Formats: sequence, structure tokens, C-alpha cells
Amino acid sequence: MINQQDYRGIYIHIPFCKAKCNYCDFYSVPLTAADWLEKYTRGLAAEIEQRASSYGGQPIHTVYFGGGTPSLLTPAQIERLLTKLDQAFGLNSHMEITMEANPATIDFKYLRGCRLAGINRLSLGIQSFVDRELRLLGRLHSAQDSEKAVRDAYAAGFHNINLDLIYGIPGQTISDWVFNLRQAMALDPQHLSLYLLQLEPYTPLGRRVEAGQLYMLEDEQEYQLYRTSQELLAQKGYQQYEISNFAVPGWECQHNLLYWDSREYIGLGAGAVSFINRVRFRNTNLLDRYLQAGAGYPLGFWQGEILEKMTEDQRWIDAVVLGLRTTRGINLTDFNKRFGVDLEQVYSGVIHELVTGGFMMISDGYLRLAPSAYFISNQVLGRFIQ
Amino acid sequence: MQENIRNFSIIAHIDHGKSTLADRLLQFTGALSEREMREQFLDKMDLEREKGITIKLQPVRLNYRAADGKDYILNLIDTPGHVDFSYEVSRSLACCEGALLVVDASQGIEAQTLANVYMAMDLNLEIVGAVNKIDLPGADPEKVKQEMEDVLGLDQNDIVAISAKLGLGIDEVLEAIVKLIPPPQGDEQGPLQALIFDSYFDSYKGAICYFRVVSGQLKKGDIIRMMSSGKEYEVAELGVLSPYMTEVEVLKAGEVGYLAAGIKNVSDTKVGDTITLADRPAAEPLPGYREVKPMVYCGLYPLENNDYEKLRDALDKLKLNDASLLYEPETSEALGFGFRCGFLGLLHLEIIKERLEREYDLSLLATAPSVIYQIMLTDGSIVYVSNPTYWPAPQKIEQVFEPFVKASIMVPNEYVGPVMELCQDKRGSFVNMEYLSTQRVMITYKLPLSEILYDFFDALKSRTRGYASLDYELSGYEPADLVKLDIFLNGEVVDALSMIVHRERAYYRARNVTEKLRRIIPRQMYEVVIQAGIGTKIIARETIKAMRKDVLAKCYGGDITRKKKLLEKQKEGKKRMKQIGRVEVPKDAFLTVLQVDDD
Repeated sequence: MINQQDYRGIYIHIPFCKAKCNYCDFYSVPLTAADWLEKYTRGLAAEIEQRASSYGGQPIHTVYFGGGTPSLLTPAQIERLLTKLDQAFGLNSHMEITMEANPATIDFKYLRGCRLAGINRLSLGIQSFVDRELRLLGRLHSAQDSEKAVRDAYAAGFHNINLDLIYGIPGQTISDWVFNLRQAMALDPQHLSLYLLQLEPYTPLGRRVEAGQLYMLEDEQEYQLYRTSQELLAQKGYQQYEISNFAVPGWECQHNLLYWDSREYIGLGAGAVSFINRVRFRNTNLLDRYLQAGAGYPLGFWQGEILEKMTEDQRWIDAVVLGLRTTRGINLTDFNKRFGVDLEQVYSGVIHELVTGGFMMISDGYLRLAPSAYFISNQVLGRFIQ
Repeated sequence: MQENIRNFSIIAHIDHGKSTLADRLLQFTGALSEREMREQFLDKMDLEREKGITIKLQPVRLNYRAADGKDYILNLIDTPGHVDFSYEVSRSLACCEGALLVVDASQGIEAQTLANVYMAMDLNLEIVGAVNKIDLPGADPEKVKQEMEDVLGLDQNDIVAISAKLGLGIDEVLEAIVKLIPPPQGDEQGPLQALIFDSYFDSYKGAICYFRVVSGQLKKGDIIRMMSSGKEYEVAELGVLSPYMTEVEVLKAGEVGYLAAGIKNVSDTKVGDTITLADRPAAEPLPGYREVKPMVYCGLYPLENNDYEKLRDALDKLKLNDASLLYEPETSEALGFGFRCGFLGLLHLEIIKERLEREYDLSLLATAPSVIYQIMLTDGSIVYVSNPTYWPAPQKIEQVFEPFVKASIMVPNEYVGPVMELCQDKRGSFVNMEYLSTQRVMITYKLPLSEILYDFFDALKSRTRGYASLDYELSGYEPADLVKLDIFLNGEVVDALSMIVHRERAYYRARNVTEKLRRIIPRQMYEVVIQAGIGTKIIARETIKAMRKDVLAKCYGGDITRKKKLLEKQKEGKKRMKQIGRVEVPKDAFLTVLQVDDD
């Protein structure tokens, strides 16, 4: 019998970009050959079939196209992939199917095609409404492109839209950030993801900071930007439900909640990560394997590396560290039912100290971070690592 | 038999080439083949090689056929060269008839060398002079020979000029040893008296003692008696170091060797004790060694509280090798269970701590080094305090006395000014100044030992561009205006950070320490207030603001493993911290705050 709680998410990675952004160290490659997308789509289709033979059976809860830049796929390719997923795993019309899209690569016609292909949630990589900031980040679109993209998305029939914004950009003031937030909210998205810029050393931005040409903001300034977002968004009816995520109640991203609820997920495509049976593993980064697989190459071509093989204990600690990212926190009774662990007992000392210090709270049967601790959450979460 | 034995030590200042010369002697006499040679064979401990100093004594037996055609046994007992270890030097010297004095041809005699030579002369040792490093550009062997004659009364004609590095003049050194140093003259037929000058613990054989037979003889299978305790053991193994352990059947008066006798309990072997035979005991023990008294004390605490027993075992074992190490259990509110340990000096402290950490896999925390203060209370009684925690309340103190030393500093005359200035800064009082030659001066000051303990030697070196050398001896207790400075973290006193300071320096030290702590304690979840005070009066304050940011903005399917690794790394980092109340303090903080850097 299938436990109704054991649903999974599917993540599909599209590792291509038109150009790499200045702050990004994710796995992506510039799209140089015209036929790569088509070959890659065929490779993905092959992987879907093979994965389904090993991991079929559990109900699928959400689908998420991430990247890279998934909006480089044509609507037809998207449709083929969704059809394949439906045949292999079984999809339904109510489930959340998200695609990330870059405002630089989309127009109304394209978005309409995607909507008709089955995408029902759009996550737009706006990042900023200030052109100076966009240039600094190396984004290909302008603030105007972003506004147009959102309007096109509505027109194309999307009613579940997320905007990604980045804060903590060198030179950014509180008023710059407030401007960004106001522009974003003026477009009435259902969801906002606000990400603190993380400096990665091997990126153009990282090198410029290292060379002393740019300065990152002070921790205190970054914290003030974060506080500002929390206040401003709350006033406009957006509810924070995770450290970096805000939504109009009812429009939280189901796929991402699945990660934070420590559910299993199947990652498809080059470099994609899966988590199944206490093992977290990553597919190969070798794009060739995918491009050739489309031409009928053998099983297991995606084999990459095992990131973690967890013990029973590591498994539930994983769930603690993820669950505490959400503002709702961890339902202690459910957690005990699911993992057989009474957190209040196991961590009695730690919890007592953190609650006394004002960094955590327990109410209505939930253990959660205090809002003032979100921005130093690593310090709190670290206490739960054994 | 004794006619052909020569027992000698080498006396030299650090860096004057003692260990290199010892290596050469081993090589020339064939004790070691070329293949076996490794730099500074006798400095066995890694720590000794790293620091370029000798800490432990390593006796070695050399076989030498001299120019007169006879075969000689030369027993070399290496000695340490640092001021902290003068006790170990005295132990070596007491086992010898002669000493080879090595002086750098470009540096001349140093204060420490002089102190050791005087010690050797007091023991009636014959001094053989050698001027080393004659190959260096700045070498002036003739001038140094003259100095050795002027200062020590050696005959210039007997001093050999050598380069241990290049192997020049090594045969002359060996000949001088044979010719000038007298053979031992013990009574081979008398009752056994053998002096233990070092020992160490071997996990298979038990305690191994190094000794010099002064009279009588010792055979394998003999029942020996330790004269201090009366405990008896059967000699299971007897041998010499040539330089590896080589078993022999018998050792007679004048010889140097080792024994193992299944001695299980480390505390049953007392360095400095006399070994005799159970069935024919000597009437009395040999003149005892100078009893050493530790000059500096500090608390050693395991970072992991359950390592306490392990630390005790490790100290027990080190104690066997190092009679000068003293320790007793103590507790600290901040640090838990540990030991108050007594050391000969700061280098000794540092070495013991490092050996405990490396050889016994411990992670340790050392508290502020302190001297022993003598305090007269208002009720007329006197207490001795080496741990600031037990400093009496100010209103109960009638008068505090602190230990002073007589410090002899030898410098080229152009540095007299800076040296005197430094000594004045350190609350010193001038005693004497003496010209050893036209260029070299010996300055004598009386200084509080506590001032010497911290960074005096470093400051001296830096103000004299490395030319000064220092020796000191305890001269007694004198009244001093001292107060206890307490350090508070978030309002709670950290007993392990308390220190005794001169009242006039209290404000300066308070600001200095609180500022150092502010720099060394990382931001934490809570604001940390650091205060320094005398009694209830706060005289310095610093604040470390609460941490503002430590967050991973994105944590989705592909980020989770990385995120967990980050948290695990963070957790690892906390192992280098000591939790005091709610504050995490890096373990280095305890030593760092005590380093004075007021130059």
C-alpha cells in the first residue's frame, strides 16, 4: 500500500543560458549549437523512461523546470516532456507545474505556448528593476523588459507568478531596494522570492570584489534591507513563509515546500540532484552524455556522484534543518509520527536555550524560528547538527 | 678500565652549534654511519628539531682510538641550552668530569653560557674550550679565544678552533677531550651508587632510567634499591646507548648506561635518586640534585571535559621525564576540571603543553601564567598564591610580596641605553654594570619575575638586534603594589582570565586585554560585553555586537547537501571554542590576552 504522504516532486534541469550572469556559479553552459536543445530534450525523454522504471509508483506532487534557462525550450519541447512525464509517472491537471523564465527570452506568444503546453506557474528572474543593478549583475534584460514580461504572462493566462529579486547588490541603498520592492508589488505577483546576493569567488562579480573594485554591503546594511522587505511586504498582504520567500496566502510554491518538508524528489537532466531512499545524488554534468543519449545511447548515462548516503539519524536531522526554514516550522506531533523522534526531548537543552534567548519558539505544537533569527538562521540550525 | 673513560657534557648557547658538533662527534667516531646520519640525531623529539633546541638529555657512548693508540670510551651527555632548562644542565654536569664549552666565533660568550660554565666550575669540571663556526665571514676566533681567557681563565693554547658544520677540527676536539678531561675515579669494588639523571616511560619495558655509576658495579639480574623510597626491583635489561640501545652484562664505576627493571608505576622513579644494591646497599645516597622549584604556574584544562583522566595520565608520564614539572588538580568555574601546573619558565610551559597535545592527542587550554606571590594578611598570617582565583579580598591584604630575580644581561656596549630603558620600564632597579672587554658589558638589574615572564626576552632581543643574552636567578621576595584584575564576560567573572598586575599598570592592562578579547572573540548570536575590573570597580569595557547575518538565502533540492556541510563545518569550528556561560571563546584567547605588546 502506498503511504499517501509519500509523494515526490520532479525537477527538470535545463543547463543552457544565453550568457552567464556575473554572480552565478551554477552549472550552465552557453547555448552554442542550434540542435542542442532538441537533442537534450530527447536525452531527457530517455532518462524519464529509465527513471520511471526504477522510481515509478509513488504519486508525483509537483513539476519544476529550472536552470539555467528553461525558457530556452520551445513550447513544443515542453509539451513533449510533460507528455512523457505523464506517461511515465502520471501527472494531473491540478498539480503545480512551474517554469523559470528569463525576461530577456520571452514574449507573449512564447508564454501563451508554454501555458497551453501545461505550465501553470511562472517564476520570472527579474532580479532588479534598476538598470544599473541589472548591468552589475550581468543580466541581459532591462527593467522595462521585466514589466513587459509580467504583463505578457498575465495576458498569456498565467495566474500564479513569482518574481525573483536580488538584494545586497554593491552600492544598493535602502531606498533603491524599496523602489525595487514597490515596482515588483505594483505588478501584483502572487509570490516573491527575495535572495540575498551571495558572493561566489569564481565569478566575475567575485573577482571584482576581490580586486577591490566593488564593495559588498556590511552585514548590518544587508540585515536592514531584509528587515525592510519583511515590513513592506507584510503591509501589502504578502506573508513570509520561508527565509527568502513571500506569497499571497494560498499561493506558496508547492514544489519548494516539498523540499523544506524533506520529501523525496527526482532530478532529471545534467547536474540535477535527486533524493530517494535516504540517498542524495547528482546526475552527470557531462552534457555530451545527454546529447548522445537522445541518439539512443545506453542505460545509466546520467550516473554522476552520490552526495550523501544517510543513516536513519541523518535522515531526520535533514528534515529538521530543512523544516525550520519555514516560518510555520515543524509540527512536532507529525514529525514524531513520521520519524519516530521526539524533538522536544532529544534537543531539550538546545531548544530551551534558544527559546529563552528569543531565537526560537514553540506554539500550537510547532517548533519554529523566531522571526528575528531568520537572518542568523545558520547559527540556530547548526545547533541541531549532531 | 676507568683510565679509558671520559664523561663530558657540551655547554653552548642556543645556535652556537652544540647539536651539530654532537652529530659530528658521532660521525667521526663511527657511532653512526653516513646513512644513519640525520640532522641533529640527539634531538629526538620533533619539537626539539622544530624549535632548534635541545630539551631532553640524550646520553651517547662513543668509541674512540686516540693518537696515543689507546681505545677510549667517551660518554657524551647532551645538555639543553635555554634559560628555562638550567636544571637539566645541572643534572648532566653532575655526571661528568669535564665539559666542552662551544662558543660561536662571531658571537662570543653569552650570558647563559657563562652561567652554565660557572655551574660546571662549581662542580669541579675540567673545561675544554672550542671556538665554532670559524668558517663564517664574521668569525674572529682569536678575539673570542682572548675573551674566553679573560673571562673564564682558560688557557688560549688549549682552545681548539673548529667548524662543526664543515667537520673542521673535530679530531682535535676528541684529542683535547682525552688529554684534558680526567678519567673517573670511583671505587669499582665499593657498594653501588648510581645517579639517575634522566628517565622516560616505555610502554613495553616500563620506566627506563639513564644513570651514571659513581661507585661499585651493576649487573643484569641484580636486585636494585631506590634509596629515596626503599623500593626494590630486579634489573631486566642493562645497556649503553651507542647511540642505539645495546645490552651489556655489567656497568662499573665511571660508566654511563640505562636500565629497565619492570618499574610499572611512574611515580616510583625519582629523577635525582641514587640506585644501590639491595644485598649490599651504600651507606648513604649521593649528594642530591638541586631541588628545582617551578617559577611559573598556569592552569591546564582539557577542551573536552571528559579528557580529564587522559590529561592526568599524560602528566604522570611526562613527569617521569621531567622532574621539574609539578601539577595538582584544580577546578575553574569557567573551564571545569584541570590541573595547576608549575614550570621552569614560559618556554618550558609551551613545550609541555605542545607535547601533551601532540604526544597524547589532547586539546588543551592554558590560563594566565603566574608567579607565586607571598601575601601577608591583616591577621598576620602569610599565604602563597599562584592562582589569581585564590587572591584574597583587598581588605584582607596587609602587604603583597612578589618574587624578584637578579638578571644578568650581556650586550655590546652600544646597547646599554636601550637595555637600561627596558629594565626601568619593567620596574627594574639597577644593581651593577661591568665591562667584560672593551666592547662587551654585563648589566645587572633586579627585576620582578612576573615582568620577565611575559615578553622580556623578546623585547630585549628586539631592542638589541638580537645581541643581548640573558640569565637570571631568583633573588627573593619584595613588597609590591599589586592588584587582581578580573575579566567579565556578560557580567560574569571568568576566573581563568584573572591576572595579578601592578596597580600603576592596571588601567593599561585592562584596556589592552578587553580590546584584545574584542578582536579575538567572534560575533555571536548574543551581544557580548567584555569588562575588566578591580574588585567591583569596572575600569575598561568593550562590546561585541550580536551577529547580524549568517544565512543561506537559497536552499532547494540541489543546495541541501552543501548547506548541511556548511553547518557541519560551523560545528567543527565550535570545537576550537570554549563555552563560557553563553559566550564562545576561542581557546587561543586565554594565552593571547596575556601577551604584552606594549613596545
